[in-house]
Amino acid sequence: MATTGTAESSRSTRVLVFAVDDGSLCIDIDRVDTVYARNEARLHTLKDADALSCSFLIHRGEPALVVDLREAFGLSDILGLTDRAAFIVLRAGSFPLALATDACVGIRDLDLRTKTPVPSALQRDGGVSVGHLVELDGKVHTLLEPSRILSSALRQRLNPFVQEARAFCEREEEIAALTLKLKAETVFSDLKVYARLARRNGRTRAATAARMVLKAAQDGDQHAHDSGAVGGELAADTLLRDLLALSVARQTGEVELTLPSGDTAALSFAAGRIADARIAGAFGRAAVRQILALHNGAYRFIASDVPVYPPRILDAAPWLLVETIEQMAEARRSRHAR
Amino acid sequence: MDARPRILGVDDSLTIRKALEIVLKPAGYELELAADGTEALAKAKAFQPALILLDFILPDLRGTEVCRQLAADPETAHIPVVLISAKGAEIEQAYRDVSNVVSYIAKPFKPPMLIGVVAAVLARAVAGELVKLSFPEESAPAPIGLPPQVVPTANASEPPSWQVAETIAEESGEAPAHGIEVAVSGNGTHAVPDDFDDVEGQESIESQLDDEATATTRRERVDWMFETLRSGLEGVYVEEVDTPTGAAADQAKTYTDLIEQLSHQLDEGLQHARSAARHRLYSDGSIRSFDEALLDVFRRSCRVLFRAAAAGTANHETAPPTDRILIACPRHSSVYEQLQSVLAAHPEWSVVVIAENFRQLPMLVRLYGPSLLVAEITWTGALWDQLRLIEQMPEAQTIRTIGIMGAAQFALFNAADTETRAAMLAERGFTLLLNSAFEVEGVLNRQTGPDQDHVADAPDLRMAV
Repeated sequence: MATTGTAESSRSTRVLVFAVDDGSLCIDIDRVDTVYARNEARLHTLKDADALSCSFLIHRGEPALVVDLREAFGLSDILGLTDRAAFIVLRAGSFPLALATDACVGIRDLDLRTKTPVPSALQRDGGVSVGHLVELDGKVHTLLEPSRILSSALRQRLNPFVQEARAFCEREEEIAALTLKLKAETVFSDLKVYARLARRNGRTRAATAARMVLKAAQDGDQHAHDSGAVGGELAADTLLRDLLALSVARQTGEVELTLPSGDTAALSFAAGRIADARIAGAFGRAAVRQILALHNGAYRFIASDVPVYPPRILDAAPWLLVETIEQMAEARRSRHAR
Repeated sequence: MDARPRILGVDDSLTIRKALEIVLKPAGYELELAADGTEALAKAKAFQPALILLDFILPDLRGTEVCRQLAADPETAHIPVVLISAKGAEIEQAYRDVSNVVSYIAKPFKPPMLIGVVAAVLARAVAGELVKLSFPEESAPAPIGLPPQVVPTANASEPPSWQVAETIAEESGEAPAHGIEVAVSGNGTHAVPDDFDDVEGQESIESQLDDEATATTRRERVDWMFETLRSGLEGVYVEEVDTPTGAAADQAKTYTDLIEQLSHQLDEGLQHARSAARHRLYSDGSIRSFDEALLDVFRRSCRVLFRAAAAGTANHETAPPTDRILIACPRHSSVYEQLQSVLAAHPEWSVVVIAENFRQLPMLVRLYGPSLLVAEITWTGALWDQLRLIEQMPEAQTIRTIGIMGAAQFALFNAADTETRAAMLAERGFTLLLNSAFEVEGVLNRQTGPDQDHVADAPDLRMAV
């Protein structure tokens, strides 16, 4: 009686139980890809011409549109939208959804042979229910059918966002590939592409940092033609330009900084790479960040034949500067936000 | 001082208690009710009833234990007890073993049976004959039920045609037999013995009842049955008199079939009434008393009418899907337990109960799509906030919202004048306000017209009878 067995087993299922607005819902575990905690998920927001916005997160290189059940069930006008604690990424038709939830309760066995599911009153095209109400652990749960969570109207509205989100993901992939290249060896044409992609993907600070480095590199190229000496005042804002010039010239040696307090700092170059930095007990990347933040003092480059060893920093100098500038901008934004 | 005989009814079933109330109060008895053994013992002392109708199985004590405690207490030892139970064999044993049990009634019981037993016991008590109503030792004192079917002896190959006994008697020139009059088939005589009742062992109680019944006119009995039918249609009594198999069979029938069968039954019942025969052979092969036939008509009428109520219109061939009831009541509320007991009595209702986390209500309303929302009103708090939100949903146009509150709060509400009450109801979006969960049962069981605080009609609900 294999047929009976199959039929019976198909009526028992494992479900992921979750809560939305204190209500209990569940979904077939086979349809769930993963669950992201809110603070682990990086959300991206898209806006269309009508200023409608939609968030999504990238799951396995694919955009998963964030859908709140309040919105999917047409309750957002009454209840508004709220921040949720987690996102359940699930397969729901042509694109994955990140279902915003207040909490994931756990995985339970739902034996439909002993329960009587009641079709939900909320229906989609063709009169099919979005799910079934079923009793589980003494409480009413709504077992959702993922492909019916979105109404066709909402799905239609979300389609342009899906296209845009997919383009975003493609750019993100390009950015990731470029980042690897730029880390190893910075080619300014690649950095230009990176700046453009970063800007389009809303990474404003990264794009700005890349453009600053590109501009400084351009200035440094010009300055190298003007004079061979590397040094000056920090207040003149020429340090970045000179560092990039040293990098392009693949110099080895040390940029020595003298601060108004009389303390010194240094950036060590090894064949055009910034291999290390030190300032007031800080070394490596942290020291680079502190040095670039200085406004007063003087610096000069002292060439050497012996590179610093072992190097604390391995990335190419322009990329290191891009990252550092971006981090400084981020730190400034955080301070302002506080 | 009220001179009406006092009766204490003890049963944990709300429906049975209601049935006792409906049957005994109009019959002139002063009735006190108890839901468990402990309450029964206390009330027996305080109320000093002339008779106790005691359910055999109670939540805290068995009926026999209650009887023994009553017998052991000088204040209650004199009170006769009539056991009520569906467990025929057990109460039969209890009837034999426990001294103060003077009779018993098997569930489901018929109102005439109940009144008959009560009257008989009280009459004996008044006469100082506080002894058990006698049953012949050799025959088991069968609980009163349907009369046994008698298989027609006519040639089975030929379909019988049924005539009224009177007509046959007239045609044959013979007077109807004494005691049992039956209709006979056109092609043979049915061997129904004169001592039909005795043979089937229903001698004692039923014969007394029959005696009493014959004392009342047929018209009164019809009126009485009609009254029972009416109260049954209000949903109070039907659960006890209906048979699960009958209900299931009728549930599967189409609306048209049901109506057709009811019409046929009414026709047969009318013929029976005209014949003046006590028992008649019906086309389904059963022999029924007039009461039994009416009861059957009553059952089927209930099913038809509830089906019609569910369909909203008699044009529907089949009933629409079950209407859904959403109940929001905090677990700590005084009406929560009441609601639970009402729901336990109606497993056929499609109900979702929310006792906490009321923030889910709007979403649940959208997903569950209730036609009726029963909300415990505390006037403030989380539940109230959610009800306000539900009011803004399009579903609010089709959902009937009933408020329910504890007796104390209801008294305060009721103290206000009619206009104020109506304003309070309208402001809160309620169409009706109840002070007891048991009233929910009544509301769901009937289509009521507008009453004092009633704004809209009762919902159409499919009641599986």
